[in-house]
Amino acid sequence: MNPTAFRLRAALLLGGALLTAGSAAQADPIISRLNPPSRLFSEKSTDGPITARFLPDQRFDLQATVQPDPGQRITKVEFFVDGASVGVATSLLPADANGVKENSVSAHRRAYALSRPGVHELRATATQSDGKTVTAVGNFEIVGVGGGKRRAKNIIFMIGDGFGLGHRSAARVLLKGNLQGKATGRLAMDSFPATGFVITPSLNSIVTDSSPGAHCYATGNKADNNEEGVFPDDTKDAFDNPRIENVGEYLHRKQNKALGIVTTADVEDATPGAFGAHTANRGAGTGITDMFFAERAKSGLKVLMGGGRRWFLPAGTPGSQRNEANDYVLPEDAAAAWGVSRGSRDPATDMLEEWRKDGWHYVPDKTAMEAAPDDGRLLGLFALGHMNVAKDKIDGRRGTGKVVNDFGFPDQPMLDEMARKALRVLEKHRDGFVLLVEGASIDKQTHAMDPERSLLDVIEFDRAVQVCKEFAEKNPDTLIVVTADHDCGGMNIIGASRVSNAELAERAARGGGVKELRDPVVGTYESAGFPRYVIAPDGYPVTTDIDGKMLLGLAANADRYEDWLTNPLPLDGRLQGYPKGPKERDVAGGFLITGQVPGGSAVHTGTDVPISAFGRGAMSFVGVMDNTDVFFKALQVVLSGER
Amino acid sequence: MRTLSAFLAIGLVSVLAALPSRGQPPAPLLPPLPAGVAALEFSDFFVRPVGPRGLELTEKLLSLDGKRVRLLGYMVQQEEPRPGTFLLCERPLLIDEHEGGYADLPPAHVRVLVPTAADRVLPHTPRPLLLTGTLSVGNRREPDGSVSLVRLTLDAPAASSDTPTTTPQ
Repeated sequence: MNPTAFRLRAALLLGGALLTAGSAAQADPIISRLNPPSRLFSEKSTDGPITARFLPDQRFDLQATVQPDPGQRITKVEFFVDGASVGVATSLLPADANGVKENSVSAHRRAYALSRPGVHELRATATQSDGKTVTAVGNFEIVGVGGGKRRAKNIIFMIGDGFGLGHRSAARVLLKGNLQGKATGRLAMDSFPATGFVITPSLNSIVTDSSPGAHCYATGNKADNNEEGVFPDDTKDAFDNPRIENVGEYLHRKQNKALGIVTTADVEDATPGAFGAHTANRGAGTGITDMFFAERAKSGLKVLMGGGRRWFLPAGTPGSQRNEANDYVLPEDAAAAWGVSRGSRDPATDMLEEWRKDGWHYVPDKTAMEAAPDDGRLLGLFALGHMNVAKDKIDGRRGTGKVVNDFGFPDQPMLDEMARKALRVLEKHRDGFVLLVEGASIDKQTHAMDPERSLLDVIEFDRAVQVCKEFAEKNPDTLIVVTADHDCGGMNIIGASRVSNAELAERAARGGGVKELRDPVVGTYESAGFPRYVIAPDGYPVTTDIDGKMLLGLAANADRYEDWLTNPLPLDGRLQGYPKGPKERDVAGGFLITGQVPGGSAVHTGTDVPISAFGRGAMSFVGVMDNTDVFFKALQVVLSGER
Repeated sequence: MRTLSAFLAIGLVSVLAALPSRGQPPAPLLPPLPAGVAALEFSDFFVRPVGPRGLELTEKLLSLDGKRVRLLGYMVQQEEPRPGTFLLCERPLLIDEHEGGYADLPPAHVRVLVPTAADRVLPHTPRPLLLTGTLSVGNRREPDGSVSLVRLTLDAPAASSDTPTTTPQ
């Protein structure tokens, strides 16, 4: 920013601050929050970019938090768009979050929509019991679509959770190798014609978590960390927040499209939750999975597959985690305006039975999944919690590992197998579909600082990309977008081992720390050379412990011991004999890598993530874009066609 | 504070085995099983592999309902411990009932009932505990609102023949 611009900005902000202070002194009550969020409301700034954007006729709630004078109460809140009333708030819920004054309310005008493109002024006027009023102003934008040709009928969002550029590069080395400086093959996603970068911050941080990181693709908007399908508010209830209609709901309402959600995580996890639920608490598993079911008629949900059976078993059943505390009941006005069930706090309900009674095919393992009919609706729950990761599933199939048996689920499908089945079911739906495919444990295993497990999950994810690409080649009215919600760990290739695997194992057993496991082992630059892995017929490396193996570092790591050898077991806090944290693993080598972050887990980073697109409208995804842009680019292709 | 062993008929077990090989759990050295007491392990609780629904109780666990058993485990460190009872599971664990309820508890855990200390909150003991008592299997709502599946009512110290025989760490 140049000095003149800085002075102008400072003067504007000062003016805004004085205006706010004056307003507060003379005109309590105050409106302390106005949704959709805007810089006009928060900073009194008319500078772009506009924070909240919607498609024509995409529905969203208007919300204001109003704090009355002491002894007063709020009697009415009315919302205006471009100066015209759009209705009086239908609910004045207690704004009971910490830091909000007594008798404050969260006022909602539910399920508003506007078709006229452009930036619109939003105004809320609140009246308290003594007749005093207060007004707040914000704005939002309706993004026009049109001018396109050749529309897409199907969209496939493929999200590698925590899948940064380092993960992609390292997986390519692992799977394809290099010779004389050239990659000897490409990942399936590398073959996509369009590639760009996505800027990933959430509404309240430069580093997003997975819920707003997926919510942006599902709704076109930002959310606070831990929130999905909603804007933040000031109530403790995680299910009364102002909602935004997501891509599945919007396209089901507009074009009768079906929705499919496929993940290797628990199906209530943040990314799938952002495509099927609306909550300020990404951890509210009972409520999120119940909402998938309760609102299936609005989302067009036809396929739901992943882990997470624990949320479907009635409370009291061993393995169930259904509980009343994270279930939900919607406010009456929200349910009425959105045309959905209010829900109920019913942890004792057998949700597997409810889905079955509704006509869903329930499949508990790969064998049943593949035998299930392709017509109808499919619920696959392959584990109590998150599914096991690709390395452990493949080791189980090869008979070289026992992890899937220890967890009790030896017949779990791979992500590509789940994606293939989902496409077979969804392609029966003649009006097209929206499909989310998530490679969830790229992130989870990077949090665990287990590079081999993370990279084998990238390979699994890429195999699912190949399945979807083949579908799109046969169905050219399909758009595939492959990206991530954020990077995790800043994992990257630092070089390769200078020693054989046998020597590495000996050094790890001797326990000399840096002298044994860093200085003589870590090969950088030309000392790294080109590691060569052998790929088995199942598509995964025969072993990740080769002589001169690739070594990976982390930019946002916690304390961990490292011996560079593939960890025989994943971290797990429950199973006897499994390391519980990164300081219980690789201890014998004595090589402690001190982390930059506290705790026992690597963290997400704020770096951009790659995006690649294939099929109808793919070339829209070139360049640098905000994560919310992805939604509007994809929906332009579906609603009007590629430009 | 008095130690836990002052209240209970327990063994505080030293894990005397050699350091585990990669991925293998240590094998603790346990005293001989007392007469009339069956050995029970957490891995005995549920049928593996898991069936199409939730976890199913094994025949062994069901057959031990009402019988005296011995179980080795760790006392769960609770943010809100209750008088006269604690939770036991296969490995050390901390749970915050206020934040996450009992969601972090593995399904294979036991609610231990301590009649000799019914009015006392028992101090957390971070070592393996070898407990002997009477097993009870089946859902039961507890006074704190939670539902327990497997309970172990500890023998009174005088009634137990399973006295500590190994060296506390």
